[in-house]
Amino acid sequence: MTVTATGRLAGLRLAPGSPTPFGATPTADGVNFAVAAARADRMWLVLMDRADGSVLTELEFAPEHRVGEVFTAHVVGLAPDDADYGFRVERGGERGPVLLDPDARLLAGSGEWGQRPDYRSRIATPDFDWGDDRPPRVPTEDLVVYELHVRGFTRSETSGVAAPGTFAGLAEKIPYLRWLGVNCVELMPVFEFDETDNVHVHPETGVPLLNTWGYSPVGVFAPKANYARGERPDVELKELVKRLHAAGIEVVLDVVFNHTSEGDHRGPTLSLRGLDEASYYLLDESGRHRNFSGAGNTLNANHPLVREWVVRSLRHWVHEYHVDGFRFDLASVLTRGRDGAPLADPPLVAALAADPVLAGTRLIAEAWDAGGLYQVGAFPHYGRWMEWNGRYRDALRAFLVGREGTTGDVATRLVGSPDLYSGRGATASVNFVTCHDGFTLADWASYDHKHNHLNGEDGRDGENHNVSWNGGVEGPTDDPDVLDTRGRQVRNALLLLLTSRGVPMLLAGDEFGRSQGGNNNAYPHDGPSTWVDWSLVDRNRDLVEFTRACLEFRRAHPVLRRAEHPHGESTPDGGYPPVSWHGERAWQPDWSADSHLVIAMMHDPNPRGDGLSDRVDTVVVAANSGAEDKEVALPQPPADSTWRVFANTGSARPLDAATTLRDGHVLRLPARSAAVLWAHTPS
Amino acid sequence: MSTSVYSGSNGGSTTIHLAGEVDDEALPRLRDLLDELGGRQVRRLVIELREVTGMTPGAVRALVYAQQRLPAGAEVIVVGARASVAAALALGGLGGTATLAS
Repeated sequence: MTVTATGRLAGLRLAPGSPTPFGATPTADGVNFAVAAARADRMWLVLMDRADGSVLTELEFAPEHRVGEVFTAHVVGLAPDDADYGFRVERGGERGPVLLDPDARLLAGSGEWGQRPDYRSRIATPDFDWGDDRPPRVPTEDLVVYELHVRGFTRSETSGVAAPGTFAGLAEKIPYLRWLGVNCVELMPVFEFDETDNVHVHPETGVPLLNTWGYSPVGVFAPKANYARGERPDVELKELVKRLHAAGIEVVLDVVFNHTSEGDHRGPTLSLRGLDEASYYLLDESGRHRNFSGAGNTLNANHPLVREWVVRSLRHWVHEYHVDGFRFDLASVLTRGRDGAPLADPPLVAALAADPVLAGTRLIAEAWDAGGLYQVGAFPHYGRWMEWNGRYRDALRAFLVGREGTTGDVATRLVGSPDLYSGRGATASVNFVTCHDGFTLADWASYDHKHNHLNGEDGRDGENHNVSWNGGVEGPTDDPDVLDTRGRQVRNALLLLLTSRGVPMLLAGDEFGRSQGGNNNAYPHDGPSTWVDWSLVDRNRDLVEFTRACLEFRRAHPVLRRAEHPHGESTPDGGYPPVSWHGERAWQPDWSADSHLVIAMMHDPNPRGDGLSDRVDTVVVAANSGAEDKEVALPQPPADSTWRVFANTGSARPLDAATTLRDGHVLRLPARSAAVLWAHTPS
Repeated sequence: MSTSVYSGSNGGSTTIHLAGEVDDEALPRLRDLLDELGGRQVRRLVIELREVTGMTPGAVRALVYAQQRLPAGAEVIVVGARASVAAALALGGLGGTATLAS
């Protein structure tokens, strides 16, 4: 059929389209459009001016071209850069607003950062030259994750990059990341989001606050447009991935499939709501939105239509953008069924684990949600999924701040949480002490309480249970004793994290003492409190060097990176067990409630076994979280070796601690300190 | 009714009594109490909810978390949860692992 359009689009011809792939797909002589809408009576393709979004023409999808519930049109004569597009639905005689394509590969109209967007879908053309790009495929046991916010990482002028706050700005920091020794970046949301989507205002200035973090996607196929310098965010993100890969660094995307930016019944109708609200969202018997995400709506993730949409999106990021994995925000939502109850065998979670395109990528669950579900150690994993180990964070913090009854728990965390991941190995556990949610590491050691009054919610938002200790003074101080305590606490956390079995994750800037002034939920801010201050790299040079040395030590000692959980039984030849526990006296650990001492000796009993190492490797990790200094008699090192101190945070110079060992085996472990030693065999 | 949170122990059995609206304001007290339990060898945890009028997801999550921290084989018995509270516990994943008693 021929339709009437005005201006340069006159003469377009609508031919029958293909129902797959969904979205807008350029063809040899036009563009194919396909969109599913079960409850729509009629549908129009709205073509819009690429410069200002004004409607150029509206073309009705021909009923006879509909395939099942999919409206299709092959628009012959349309070139990808002729127009942006959207869909308009008529239901029960009522026409709705112009909707975004849920499969839009690009979204235009976001404007400058901080401006109210006027979104429209844009036709993408895959024209990127990947050259010889290959996924780094870092062995999981060697992985070190570094979590960062693309804008916040380089937006500060202290970053010194040419394109602050962008994908390109991050790429300029690759040499730093390599120098530090991380091999995987986890990017906080880079799907298109509306940073102005926040109803709160700054309590002192009255200025509207932002949603800087972006945990509220507008489109799950489109990259965040104003993370790009120019007009092609897709190309700039691909360029970033390519450069990270060339540096041996993997890219994991933090993805949000628990809710969308459409909110509850009060929210805007942007896309899914207008197409098929009852399929895409969890609604109760009265048609109201169930809210397991804390954000108003909850995606009906296990509905076949939604499930396929999620899988399609992730395949797109793997195939088109070459990303190496995903971290799923509030992933427990993905295990809920139509009625909101947790499913034993959730189809979406299973489908992602078995998907052939996603094979080899990392699937990491934030295994809880805002509806009370807490599945750490119990998330349905299908042999594939890893988890953010929230219990690692809680146990390490509780131990380090000196809580009683915590030694047994922290010991279990140090060896890869075998209680949680039995049969799956230590690499199922992503260990962390801090992440974007909550205090930064410096703030964890500087504040007893959150200080969120600038978030515009009277300080009610954010986690109350921080398991933190300020060292004696709340917030900034120049008391040298307090500062000394804080410095030790930060190093204790880093040292234990980076010598634990499992996959360690660092929060960007923790390695040089980044603070958010005690704000433990800094999502609404876009300024010095959330921008990484790179001048700290020089001001806290010793802390950066300490972190880097810990990572280097981890690389040098395979016993710390073994994928399996170590057992405590001696080898048949009488050698040391893979892990043994000690106290003030060797072989006599103290697990009593008032003990604050944990000493693990990790020994590689099979150094030539599977190619991980070719030499005997023995490391002692010791921590004293009590208020009293301790002297501990270490076990004898393996034959022909001597103990060498790698680090002792109780020393004035933690990395130059060789003198702390008396008589070759007595370690002085001052109050609130940690030490790591290794058995050195003269060559 | 104001929120009330306290516990009592008898050998390996510990009972947590909750009353009123267990909301986010009551949460720090509940979590501190549950944290204390983490260091004990609790064989049976009884959660007494007869006087609870409502429970936020945060409170449910705290109970789920506490249940996971119990030693292997320990049992959790939820007593007297009214229908709305029992539904909240089920949505929080506690339904499959705890015994619900009237």
